[in-house]
Amino acid sequence: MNRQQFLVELYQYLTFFSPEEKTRIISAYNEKFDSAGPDCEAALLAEFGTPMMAAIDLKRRMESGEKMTFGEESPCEEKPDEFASEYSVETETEETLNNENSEASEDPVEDVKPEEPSSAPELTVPPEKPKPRGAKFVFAIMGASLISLVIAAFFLVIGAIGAGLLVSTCYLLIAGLKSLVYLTDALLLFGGGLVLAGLGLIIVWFAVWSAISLISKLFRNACGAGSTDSDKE
Amino acid sequence: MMKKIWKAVFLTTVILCVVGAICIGVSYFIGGSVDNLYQNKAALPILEILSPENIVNSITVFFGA
Repeated sequence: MNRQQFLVELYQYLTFFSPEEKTRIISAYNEKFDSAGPDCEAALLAEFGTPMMAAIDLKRRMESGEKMTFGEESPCEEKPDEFASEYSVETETEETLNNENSEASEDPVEDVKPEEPSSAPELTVPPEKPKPRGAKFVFAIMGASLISLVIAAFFLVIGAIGAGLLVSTCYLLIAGLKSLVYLTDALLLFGGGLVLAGLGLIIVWFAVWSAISLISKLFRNACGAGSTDSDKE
Repeated sequence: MMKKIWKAVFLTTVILCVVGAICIGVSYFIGGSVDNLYQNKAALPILEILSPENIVNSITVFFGA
């Protein structure tokens, strides 16, 4: 993994941060890579670990209220072989972090330059756009409501069939209890009642599950249709 | 969540059907039959309700009305 790949993956794992914070973090990492130089890139990457671990560490620091910043000196210049053991991520005051952030460039995309041609995707910060919801959204919701009524009615009928089977079960079991004198009749009634109970149960649950799944999917799609293409991305 | 409920419902259905089938099988094995069941006064009302003719009539009436 090279620097470019590390930063791209790290950016993707920073889901708990706002876009501004992501940009600041990537800028800080870029600055550290720049100051360390290309010779120390491998050692730096080894020190940072995987992008996921780095992101988890950042999240932990965010939750504990700490601010992440790097050491000023690059141990790689003094002892290249022992870089990994000496380099450490230090915790400093917010002022230090702000100073670093002000020095860092605003757009981390420009700082992340591939040192060799690679197919790694470019690091981009998606622009924040307002979510316009207009008449299309209202019509989509109205249509979804109408269709969901039809779906609910259909599955209500199926559910009623299942409920009817369950009610029949009760009658069969009661009749079986009344006919305990005749063992064969009682067994037939109990057996029929249990089979009907199983069928009724699965039919009722199928109706409930189908109605919930279809209606929720319908409304989710309706909400998606009301938003712009950029929202979907 | 839904998967767990599906599993529970499916398992319950299988158990109920298997136990019911065993009951019916044992009943037939010891000489029971549906014809004899119609002689049972306690079971007759529910058997008439659940009879295929009655169900078809109910459906016809429902959609014909």
